[in-house]
Amino acid sequence: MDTKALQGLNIPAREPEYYISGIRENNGHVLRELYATYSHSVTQLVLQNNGTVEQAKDVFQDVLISIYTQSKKKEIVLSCSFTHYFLLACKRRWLNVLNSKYENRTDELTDSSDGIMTINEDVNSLFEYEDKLAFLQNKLRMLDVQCREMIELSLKVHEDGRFIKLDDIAKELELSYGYVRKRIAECKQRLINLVKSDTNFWQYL
Amino acid sequence: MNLDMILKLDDSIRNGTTEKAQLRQLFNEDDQSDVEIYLRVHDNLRQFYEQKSIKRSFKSSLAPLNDEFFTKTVEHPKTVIKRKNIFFKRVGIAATCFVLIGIGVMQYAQNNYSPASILDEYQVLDYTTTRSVNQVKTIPVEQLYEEGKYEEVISSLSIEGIEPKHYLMLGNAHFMLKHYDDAIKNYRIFGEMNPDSEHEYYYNSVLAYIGKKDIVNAEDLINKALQDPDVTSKYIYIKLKDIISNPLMKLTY
Repeated sequence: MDTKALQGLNIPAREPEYYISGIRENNGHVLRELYATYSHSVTQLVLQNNGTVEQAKDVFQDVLISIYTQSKKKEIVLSCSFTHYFLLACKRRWLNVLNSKYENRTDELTDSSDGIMTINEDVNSLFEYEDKLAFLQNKLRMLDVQCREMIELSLKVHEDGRFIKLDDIAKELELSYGYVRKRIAECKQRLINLVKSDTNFWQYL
Repeated sequence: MNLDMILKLDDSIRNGTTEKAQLRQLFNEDDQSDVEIYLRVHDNLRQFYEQKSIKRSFKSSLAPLNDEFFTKTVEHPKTVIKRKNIFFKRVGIAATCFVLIGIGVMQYAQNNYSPASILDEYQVLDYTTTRSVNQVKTIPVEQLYEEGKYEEVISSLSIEGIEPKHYLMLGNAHFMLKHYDDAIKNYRIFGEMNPDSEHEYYYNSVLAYIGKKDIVNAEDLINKALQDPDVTSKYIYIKLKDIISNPLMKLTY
C-alpha cells in the first residue's frame, strides 16, 4: 500500500476497503478522517489550477458521492492505494469541471499532490456511471423547465417501488390526466430525439 | 420515434410490465431499435433522479464536515509539521550565529579589555624609578625582589625596618603575589611619604585596582591623576581610561 502521502500524519495507513465501506455506510468517523487527510491536498490541487476553495469543496464532495453511489451499486475493488485512487478521482473530477467550463479549451493540470500521475482504470470505472448520467443531464438541460419537471414527476415512485399515479400528478399540477399523460410522452419524445441526434449516444446509453 | 409508441411503452411500464422482453413483444421488428433506445433512456432517467435524491441527502450529511474543513481552511498536518521544522531550523541557525558572535566578542574583549590583558601590557613601576643616580649598589632586599622572591622581600622588610621609599617595593611585592588590597595600602603610604612620586603612587594603585577588578575606584583614581597638576605623564592615564571605560570591559570581570 502506498503510504507516501500519509507520511507525517498520525493517521494510520488503512486498507481501501476501510474507507470505501465507511463512505458507503456514511460513517462519520471515517468521513472525518478522510476530510482531515485529503481536504488540504484537494484544495491545493484545485487552487493551483484556476479554482477556488468553494470549487475544491464541491470536487471533494462529488468524489465522495460518486464513491458512495458506486459502492452502493457494486463492490469497488481497487488495484492501487486509496490515496492514489482518491486524489486521481479528484483530479479527474476537476478536469471534467474545467472541460465543461471552457468547453473545447484544454487546460493542463499541474500535479501538485503526491500520487497523481495518470488517470488509471480504477478511477475510470468510478466515472463511467457518472459520465453516462452526465450525458443524460446535458440532454435534459436542453428541454424546458416544465418538461424536466414533468419527466421527474413521472418517474417518482412510492416506497414500495410503484410509480406514482398520473392521476395524482395531474391533481397536484391542477391539470387534466390526458394532458399530463400526453405532455410527458411528448417531453420524452423530445429527449429521445436529442439523445439520438448525438453521434456518440450508444457509448453512453 | 412516434408519440404513440412512447405512450404505449409508458402505460405498459406504469401498469407493471417490467420485463424488457414483454415490452419488446408489443412492437414489430422495425421498431425494436427505437424500443431499445426508449428503454435505455428510461433506465438512465430513473438512475439519474435516484442519484439526484441520494446526492441531496448525502450532501446534507457532508455539509458540517465541509464547513469544518474547507471554510476554516484547516491546514494539512504535514504542512504544520514542515512549518514548525522550518521555524525551529531558523531559531537554531539564529541561536548558533548568536552564540558564535558572542564567543567572538568575548574572545576579543578578553584579549583587549580584561584586567588580565591590561596587567599583561602595563607593568608596575618599581624601586628603580625612585632610585637616585648615585645609588648604584643593590641592597639585599632589592636583589631578592629582582629574583622574584616576593615573600622574602615582604618578610625581610618587616624585620629590617622600612624606609619611606621601600613602601613601593613592598606594595609591588604584594602586587606580584596578587595581594591587591595590601598593595593598594602600601602604595597609599608610599604616596603620603613621598609627595614627589605621585606618578608611581597613582599608576601602581590604578593597576592594583584593575587587578582587583575594582574598575570604579581605578577610574576614580585615574581622574584624580588627570586633575593633579604635578602628574606630568598623563597620556598613559588617558589610554587606561579609554580601555576601562569601554563597554566590552564589563563583559570580562
